[in-house]
Amino acid sequence: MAHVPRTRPPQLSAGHVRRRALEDVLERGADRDLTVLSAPPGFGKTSLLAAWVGDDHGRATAWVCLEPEDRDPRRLWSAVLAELTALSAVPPSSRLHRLVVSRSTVAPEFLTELTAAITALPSPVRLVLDDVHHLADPLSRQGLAMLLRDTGDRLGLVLAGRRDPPLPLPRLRMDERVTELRAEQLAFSPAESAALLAAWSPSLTPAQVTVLHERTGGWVAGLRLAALSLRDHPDPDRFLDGFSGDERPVADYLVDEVLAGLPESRREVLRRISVAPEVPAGLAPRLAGRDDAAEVLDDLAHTTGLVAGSGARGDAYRLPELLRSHLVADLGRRGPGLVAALERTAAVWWAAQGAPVEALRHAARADDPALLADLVGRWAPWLAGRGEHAALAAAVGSSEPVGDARLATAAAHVHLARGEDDLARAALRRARRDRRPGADAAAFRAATERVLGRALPVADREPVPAEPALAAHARIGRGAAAVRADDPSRARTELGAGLALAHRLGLDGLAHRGRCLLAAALWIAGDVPRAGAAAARALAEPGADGPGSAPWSALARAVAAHAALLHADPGAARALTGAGEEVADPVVRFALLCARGGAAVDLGERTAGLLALQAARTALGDTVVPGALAATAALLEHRAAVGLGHATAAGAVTAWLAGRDPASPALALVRGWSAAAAGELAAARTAIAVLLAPPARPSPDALDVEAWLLEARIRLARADRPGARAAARHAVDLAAPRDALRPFVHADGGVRALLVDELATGAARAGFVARALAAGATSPAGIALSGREHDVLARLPSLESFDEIAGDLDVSINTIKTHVRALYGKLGVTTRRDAVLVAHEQGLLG
Amino acid sequence: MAGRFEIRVSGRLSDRARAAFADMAVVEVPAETVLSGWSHDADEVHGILDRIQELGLELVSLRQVRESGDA
Repeated sequence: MAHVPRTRPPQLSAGHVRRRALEDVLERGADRDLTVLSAPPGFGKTSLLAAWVGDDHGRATAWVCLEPEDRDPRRLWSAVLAELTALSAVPPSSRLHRLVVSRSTVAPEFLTELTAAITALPSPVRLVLDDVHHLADPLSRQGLAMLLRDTGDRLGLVLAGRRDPPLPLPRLRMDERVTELRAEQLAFSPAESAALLAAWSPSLTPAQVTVLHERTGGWVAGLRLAALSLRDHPDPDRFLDGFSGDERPVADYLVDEVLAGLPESRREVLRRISVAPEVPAGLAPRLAGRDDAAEVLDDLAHTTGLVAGSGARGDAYRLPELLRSHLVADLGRRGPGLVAALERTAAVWWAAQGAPVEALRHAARADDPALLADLVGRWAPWLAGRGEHAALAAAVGSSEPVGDARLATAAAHVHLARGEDDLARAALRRARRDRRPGADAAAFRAATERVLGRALPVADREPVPAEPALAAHARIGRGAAAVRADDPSRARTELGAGLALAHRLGLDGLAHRGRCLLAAALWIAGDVPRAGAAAARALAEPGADGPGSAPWSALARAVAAHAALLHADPGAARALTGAGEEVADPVVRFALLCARGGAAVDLGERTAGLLALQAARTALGDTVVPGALAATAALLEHRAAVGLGHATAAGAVTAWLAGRDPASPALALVRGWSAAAAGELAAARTAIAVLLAPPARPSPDALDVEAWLLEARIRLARADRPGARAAARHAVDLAAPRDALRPFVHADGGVRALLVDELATGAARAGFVARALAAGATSPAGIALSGREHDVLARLPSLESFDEIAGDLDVSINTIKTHVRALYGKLGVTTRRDAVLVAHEQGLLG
Repeated sequence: MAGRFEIRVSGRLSDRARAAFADMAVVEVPAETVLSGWSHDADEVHGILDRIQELGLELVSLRQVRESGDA
């Protein structure tokens, strides 16, 4: 039976019979890992558990009653986690308090952490899952099995439902780890039946009680209905005569009798409210079609006990499930449209209360496509943005695929959440065929298409919808389109506005997509540090690995990987790219494969890296990519080719970039590199002149830094040492705020040696230079220095003379010279400058 | 389990209880009622079994019927 609220055992009714013998069975099995109550409805499973748990609820016993929507694992495990953390037996220090269920998806890791946190509890707890037959998805089944297997004696699991739970019961039985109660044990004994009937119909004789017990077989729901109809029955014996010997099912007969004891006007009220398992006082008059419906239900509650609840908030009117099922069937018999009309009334009422889940639940059965489309249209942006796809799936799954843009777009979001991108696109094609969508439906469809990568241009006068959740989708969709259109400044504006809305409304699923796209926009704009930070934050969000987040997380990983490359951390870049091939979006796949190839080059696998970069470019074909990505890819590949002395390969990638983007500023650099590699320094200088003229536009490949480092190399070759030094300094000053270390790893040896002098100058620049020289350090091992040698080495980058160093260390000048000779020998150098350079490159300094 | 199936419950159903199975064929045999219909998947059959339980009917048997060409 369903109860509100669902995380609390129900109140026991006045006529409740305590079943001490069964409670003893439960108590004796309390130290077993699992307790299973498996029986059809109306056998008193919930009442027995509620009586047994009693005051322990909230102390060491958590209680969750499952509902159909718990097919969605997020909903189920959120409720379980909330109940567990509310227990007084769970101390504030427990890791359970730090667990969060993602709003977009539940990952297996969450279940592992939940299990570990329970296992670490100081005292055992119990978790009751009532109506566990609603648990349907594989992940939740896996979670149940994990809790049972791995929590040791810290968790007692109690599962009640209409069917056996999906667990290996035979084996658990053999290991004596399970206590089971089934219909035969749960059925009332003759004495219990007598006690129940005595409470409800005190005038029955022992013989009458015996007949009732035998006919119902101790089935509580049947006994209860019998007791209710016998309460004021004029002729109990006639009732019992009709009851026995008949071929009719007991339930059928009892329901007839109960209803026969009521005036038709009251039967009608009950019939009409039966479409809803929970009827708040406000809904009752709408369903019953009379203003005094709540009074009628209150009266039935007091005089017959047929109705439970007071209609108040959190205590809606409820009918016994058995009676309700028969009433719904009766309604269906009276006219096919009647049930649908009442479902419609309930849907409209819940929608007016701002309760989309309940409204859609009823609308799905209302046989009113217009209403369903209307409610889906109104709530889909909010539900999809929050990742509440179960309610949406139930609503759109209940109708045949129709050409209504609202339903089709909602279906697309359900598919997206499951990682079914192809089906999502097919649903959007259906949405497109709707020739007359409303303004909001058109905006939601466009936003979804854009987020999925379709390049729908944004018209200048395209309005932003007024509804906030829809506006958040629209903004983020436009941001996605601007990223595709290589317009990072517009992308940042739209994504910023969309993210602010999404955060305010708690649309976490949508916000994740927005943040990944923002990382891409920042990267294209050349702001690599902030792009890397945004990507890292998006990837750290719970649920970033879920199927509904994967395409956008892949984009964030590509951004983070390129940022890591620029920061001279190829190991991190490689870890972020994964295999790369499994990503569906060709642009994102290209970006990931390029980062992977670049990482291979930087990790010393130069030939493999070059081949990987070439392969990525070939696989891309004619797909359009943002200019910054094409330039970055070309620079990675060109550098790898030149490094291997492969002029043809370098020429090929130059031609590729020129063919794609003849205006790309990166062309100047690759031409400069090629010329320099061929020893044509004058040509190199001419080629890069355009890059040295301010103002340089920031780019994620640090084009300006690279150009100034090449300039330094050219000047050095022309013996213009002061000019080379100035150019190198300029490169450092451009690179330092962006932490762009990679250009220095690949810089010419002479230029790197020049930079050693910078170590002794102003602290700000020296810090970056030290890291730039240390970046790409081959290995800190191999060279073993004594403590004293290390002290001396640490002072070599300064401008101090050996005399001054001797004074600092309080030793003689000859001792210093001895240490320096030993150091030079170990480092394989002959000058102080080379010693500092090699020391940095070996990771001995900095 | 997709295909044709047949469910037997004990006793003769009232018109009201029969109405709960509007999309199935309902036939009475001595002391039992036979419900038969088509299903697309196991979920659908589970739904019907749930309805039988909710109505308090006693399930006697459930079986899948071989296709006989009378779709």
